[in-house]
Amino acid sequence: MSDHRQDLSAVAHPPVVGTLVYLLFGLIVWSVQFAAIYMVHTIVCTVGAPGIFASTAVVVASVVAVTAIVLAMANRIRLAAALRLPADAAGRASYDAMFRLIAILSIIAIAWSAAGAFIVAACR
Amino acid sequence: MTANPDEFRLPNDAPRPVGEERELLRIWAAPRGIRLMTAVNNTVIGLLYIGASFLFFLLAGLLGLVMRTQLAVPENELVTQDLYNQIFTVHGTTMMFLFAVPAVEALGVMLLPQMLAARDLPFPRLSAFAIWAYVVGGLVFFSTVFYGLAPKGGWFMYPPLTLTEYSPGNNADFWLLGIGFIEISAIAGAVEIVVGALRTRPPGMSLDKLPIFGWSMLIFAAMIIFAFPAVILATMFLEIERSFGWPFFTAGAGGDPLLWQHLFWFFGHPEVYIIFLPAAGLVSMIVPTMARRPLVGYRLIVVALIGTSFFSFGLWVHHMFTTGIPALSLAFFSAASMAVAIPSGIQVFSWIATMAAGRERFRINTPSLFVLGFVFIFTVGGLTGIMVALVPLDFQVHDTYFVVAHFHYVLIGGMVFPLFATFYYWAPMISRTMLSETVGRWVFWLMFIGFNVAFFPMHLTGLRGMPRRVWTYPGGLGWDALNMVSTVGAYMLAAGVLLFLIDLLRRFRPSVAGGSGNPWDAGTLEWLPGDVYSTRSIPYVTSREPLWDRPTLAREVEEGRHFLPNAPTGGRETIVTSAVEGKPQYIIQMPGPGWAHVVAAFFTAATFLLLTIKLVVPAILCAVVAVGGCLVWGWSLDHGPGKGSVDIGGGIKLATYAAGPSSHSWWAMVVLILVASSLYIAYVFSYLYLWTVSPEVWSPAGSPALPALGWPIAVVALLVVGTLAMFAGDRALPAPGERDLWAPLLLALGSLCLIGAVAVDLAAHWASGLGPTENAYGAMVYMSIALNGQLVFAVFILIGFAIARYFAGKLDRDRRVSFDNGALLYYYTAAQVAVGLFLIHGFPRAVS
Repeated sequence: MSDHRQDLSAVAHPPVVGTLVYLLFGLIVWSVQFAAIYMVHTIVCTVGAPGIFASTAVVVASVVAVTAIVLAMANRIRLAAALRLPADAAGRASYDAMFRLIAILSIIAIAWSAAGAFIVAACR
Repeated sequence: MTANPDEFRLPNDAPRPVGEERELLRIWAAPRGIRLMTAVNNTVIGLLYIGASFLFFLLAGLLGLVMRTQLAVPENELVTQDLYNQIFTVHGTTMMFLFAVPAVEALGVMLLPQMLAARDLPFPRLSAFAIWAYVVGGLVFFSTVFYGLAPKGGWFMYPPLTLTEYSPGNNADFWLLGIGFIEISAIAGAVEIVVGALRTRPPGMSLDKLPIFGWSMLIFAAMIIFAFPAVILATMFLEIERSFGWPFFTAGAGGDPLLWQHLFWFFGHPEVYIIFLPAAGLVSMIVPTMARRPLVGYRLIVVALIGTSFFSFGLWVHHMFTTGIPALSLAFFSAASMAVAIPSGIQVFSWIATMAAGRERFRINTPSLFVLGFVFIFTVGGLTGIMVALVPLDFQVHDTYFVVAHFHYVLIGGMVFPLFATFYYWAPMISRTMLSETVGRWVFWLMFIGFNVAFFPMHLTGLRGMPRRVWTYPGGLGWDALNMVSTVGAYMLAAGVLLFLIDLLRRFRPSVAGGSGNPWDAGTLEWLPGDVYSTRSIPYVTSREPLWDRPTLAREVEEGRHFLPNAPTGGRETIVTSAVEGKPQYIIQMPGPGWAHVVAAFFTAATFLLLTIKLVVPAILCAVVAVGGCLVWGWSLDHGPGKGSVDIGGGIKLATYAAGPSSHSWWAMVVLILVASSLYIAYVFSYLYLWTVSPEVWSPAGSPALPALGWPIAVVALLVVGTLAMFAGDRALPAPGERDLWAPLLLALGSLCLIGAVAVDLAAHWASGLGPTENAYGAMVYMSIALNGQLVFAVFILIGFAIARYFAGKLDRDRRVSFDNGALLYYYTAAQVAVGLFLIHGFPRAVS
């Protein structure tokens, strides 16, 4: 066990918002994708535009979302630095693991929700 | 991790000075007699909270038994159809709003400070306020079933059935105002829990060492913050339509009853997880203790909790599969409904793995039996949940008893069984004697068998076509025997609960001065020895199971060798730590017992209840008293930095005051602003939704032309001037001991500009000839002004309060928390008014 004087005296405090954004990055992207596809689809069907526009928008939004998450995973260290997370912060290894797991979970959810665009008619 | 205690230098030396513990006991003593009502200790009000929520569980359970008796045989006339409608509405409403959510919040109030070894949560009077308001409001709401005034529209209160035309009288209003008010109480509790979990952890407890129950409560509170505003807005819409005729839900005037369903289920589906996640958190605490090893997959469980909470907000339409929504949208929500099974499954497998991986055999006792019962029942409920997430199957079983079976498996399995496990597991923490193990096993088996006998047959009655909410049914449809079996099971379940009550009366001996030790040999901090002040000193934490990893910890804490073993400010206090790493930041000085918050709670409840029966003048008088109570309560809170810094041990000196972003009150205001913004986002969704439904009533085609652009420009000018005045007022706050009139004048100017901005916007629409009752567009425009107006009112009170404190010599450049709170809400309100202008004046112009 390390000494509390050492552990508690470090000056750097990881920013709360930065830590939350880092942890939740995948799910934040999922939320944006989910809201976007629901909104765009509703508007396309409401204004009477061809359903293919809605299906295409769903696929495009989902590809963009998955790409964003994959890029974030590939550049995890840069993302963490941009969010001002100290590399030696207490619990950093746990946060890195959670970031990856949440990202993977989010990719599955995005792909799953987009799959409907290939299966069902958009506006019926 | 196992530590050698010799390696560790403890923050304080022993023995501690004589009289130090006596001083702690004096400061934290709970009042006695009638003054017990004024208590704010988390153990006292936590017990009251748990007791009240359990009382509502019993009352709603009795209503359930009446329903089951009525349905035992066909063509039964035990209760009338009208009374049956009231009973199932009050049963569902009470179970969801008065039992499940408050019970979970109560456990948070009771257990969270103990698990964090904090002396109390950061806003003790806020918790007490929320609890008293809930108790009074809840009892009055429930009592309506005894005199025919209870609502009849189901716990979800769908319009148009609940509009005045189809539900005359005050019955529906009791739901709308009563429950809307109790939701506000839940939000108050959520503010407390968020700030408590993030800022009052013990030194060294970084987020990755937070007990899983702490994570689950943090996520629970965050979900309340984002989910509850949607239903609060919906209840505002419906009450305003019932009382004043603003047609939000009337299709003939451009409204849409489905708007209610969207808003209600945006709250209602996360609500299921709001109830379940903390219960899962409790299970994640019990399983490792009984398996005698750390939880398998701590990080995975945290990920699962977070994932479930996010996905739960993408499920609301799965309650609306049969409302005619396009197939692709249904596919999005069906996919999200299935995706949520992944994090739920992660948790179940993690618990099973922990049970299997223990060095010793998993201990089977009453708490673990309830946990095992939970795993079985919840898994069955989860599987039927996947079934109803499939659109074609949902079309078949929608509004049948299959759905009743499904959600009782999820809710009773997912919440009630863990709650009983909690009662048996944590009773020794607050009771001088444990509950009976023998009786506990009888309670479990009666409840487990009774539950399955009661609810499993409902899957079959549902598949055979029996609809929900029917008062009675004709014989010979294949439902008779199944209903009788369900009724027998319900009585068996009730017998289990009755046996538990008897055991409780015989053996439960609550004590705020500590319970009966650590009988399970658990590893987390709530099992530290303590008294009314919580723990003698606040431990330095280096692992997730500190009592296992440092066997000497309990003794060291009891000897006062860790942090803050005394009361250096002479009052109630605890350590505030940084949100991520758990490093000590300052000492929070907390209020003790008082009457002001109790008065505020009673009169707030009275305000809402009097409004329900349209006694407007007495309601306004009660509101004035309630606001007065809040102001008196708030007057004593901002202590200022007068006590300087204090030594908490280990050479660490902490300030006894903080203002600005590091202050816990600043955090609470930010959380409150998140609630307000969620409410407004729900409003923006509603505005755009109704436009997609009825664009023909929108301006300029279907309503008077929008006010000329000069009006919104004038509003923006007032917002800019007001905001600049607030900034200038901030800079004009004088040094301690100095006085001038600039600061109060600038703050008053800022307030007046904000009031003026909303008044000008109101006048502009009124002058254009638009009325709120003409169509849904008019209702939406005036609703925006109403939402802004209520915030402006709150800002006016807060800034007025700050000005009063200035003249009383209690506000200056350093002692400024009351100003910071008002200013923060001011800036948010100005931003919301500006967004509203953009929407109301810009959107119709953009689409016309």
